[in-house]
Amino acid sequence: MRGTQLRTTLLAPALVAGLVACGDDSSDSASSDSKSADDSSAPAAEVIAVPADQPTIQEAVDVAEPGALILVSPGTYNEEVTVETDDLTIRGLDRNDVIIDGEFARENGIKVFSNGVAVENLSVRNHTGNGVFFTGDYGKGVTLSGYRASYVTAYNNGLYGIYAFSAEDGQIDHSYGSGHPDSAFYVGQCQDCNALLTDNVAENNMLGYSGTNSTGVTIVNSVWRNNRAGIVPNSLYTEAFGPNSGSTIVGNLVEDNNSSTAPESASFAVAFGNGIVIGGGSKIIVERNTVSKHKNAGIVVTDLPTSKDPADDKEKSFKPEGNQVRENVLSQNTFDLAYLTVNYASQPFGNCFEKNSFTSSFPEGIEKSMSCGAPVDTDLGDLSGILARITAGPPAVDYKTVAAPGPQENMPKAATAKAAGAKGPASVDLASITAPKG
Amino acid sequence: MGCGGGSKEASPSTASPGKSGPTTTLFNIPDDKFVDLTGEATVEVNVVDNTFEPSFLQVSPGTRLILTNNGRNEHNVTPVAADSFEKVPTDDFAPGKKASITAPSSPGDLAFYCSIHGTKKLNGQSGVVRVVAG
Repeated sequence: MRGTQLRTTLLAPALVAGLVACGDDSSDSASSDSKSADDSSAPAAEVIAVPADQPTIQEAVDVAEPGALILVSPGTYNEEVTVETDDLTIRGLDRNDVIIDGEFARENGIKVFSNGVAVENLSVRNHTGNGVFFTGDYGKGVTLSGYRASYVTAYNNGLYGIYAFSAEDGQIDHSYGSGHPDSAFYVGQCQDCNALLTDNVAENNMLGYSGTNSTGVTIVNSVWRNNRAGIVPNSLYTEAFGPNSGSTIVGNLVEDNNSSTAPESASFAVAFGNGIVIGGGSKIIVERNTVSKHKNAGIVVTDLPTSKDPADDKEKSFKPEGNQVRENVLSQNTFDLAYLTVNYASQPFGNCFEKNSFTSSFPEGIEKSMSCGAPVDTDLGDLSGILARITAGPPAVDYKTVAAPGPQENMPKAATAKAAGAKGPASVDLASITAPKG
Repeated sequence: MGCGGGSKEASPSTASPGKSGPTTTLFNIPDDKFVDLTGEATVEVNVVDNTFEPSFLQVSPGTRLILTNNGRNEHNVTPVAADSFEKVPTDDFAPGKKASITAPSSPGDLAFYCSIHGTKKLNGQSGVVRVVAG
């Protein structure tokens, strides 16, 4: 910390005009998307400018008090930022020109261990681990509460783009992810995730979205294209809180997830060429999505992938139960709709397909044999025939070589919008969402 | 719910980290957080995504800790106090790999973390080996 540096606040007399402007801006700022709407009676946040007040983002974080806004000017920041202070907002002034670059030598762009932290309007690239990482620690019984990533571009990181783990009450919005060997966006190991993903784009990743053992994730109004697989909520024995349950996937555009130019994860190679995969999940709603051009299935409900159960060291899968696939618009997939259980009987287990627009399915006539309300123990016959018809993925690609994305949309009024932190996800009117045009 | 920021679970004390061997009372972690494994010549630490199980161990001097990466992610084991033990680097600790650390012969706390998923302040994936005499 440089003691002689100026730390500005919006209460400074010279900035009173700015305070008025901020108040005016807040009604349509990006932060108004979150439940953490501004409270005009609250004291103004401390603002720390980087590099004007502190030379690095980390040094700004280290001196910030809870509630502060760290406002980062354009530049490439070759640093790894660790956040251990609650309720900070870290915001770039220009999403495309504020870049945290790991140079393929550092592990994470920003890792957050504190509650209520928001990361906004910047890019994170070239880390060996993750772009932005929010986490508690399951082993110590610590769950992070409140996180948000808005208008963040994450690309060419060695695992995830935006990664929330043992964290609840979160939101990822208006963000972009490409070039990740696992997924662009991940929400996992949370019993009551209460997370919202909205208005995001994922392309050229192994998976657009992955969420392992996460209950209560809402994924809406986003685009998932040219990944190896699109949206993949899944259940694994290698993490706590399985199975994945109670998530909602509505109004997404999911197309052409058959990429030969995206990196690969061996664990999820089996997901290649599918749009939406419900892998061992339960009570997941997949509704009013537009899903097209997949070499395997548009939407598949399955017990795959398997994982080793530490309790008995055996490879197992979770039974998919009670998932509902309704009113989706599917076209040009090898199988628009598919259902496959490998380690369980060929029965619906309460999974159902209803009122979808589709032309092909496995098993054939899926909306008759697996209609919503059908007996859970209906014999579906031999389902293994689909295994021989699965198209395997192309060879793996080095994540470091995936082409960088073009410029992405900036957060409105980044220079003046108030700090909002992260108090929990916005509410969404699911009933108003329609299937997007393909 | 919630962890209340970075310091509720483990607060750094004013004690200075030692440069070699264990340090004493580096973090104010209550005794009841520790799993008592004293008297065991070898103890197993399960490393998963993204935590050490157990995170807080109480062992006897010279106990050998066997750590196994049973997660899907890469991890490492980094000492909080530099030189208190040799770091287990990420490249040597891929999923499925094992590593070992031998507890020092003198009592004290040996704090560690995964630099990918934890911090020196013991937030995230981190832990403490407490070495007790007798």
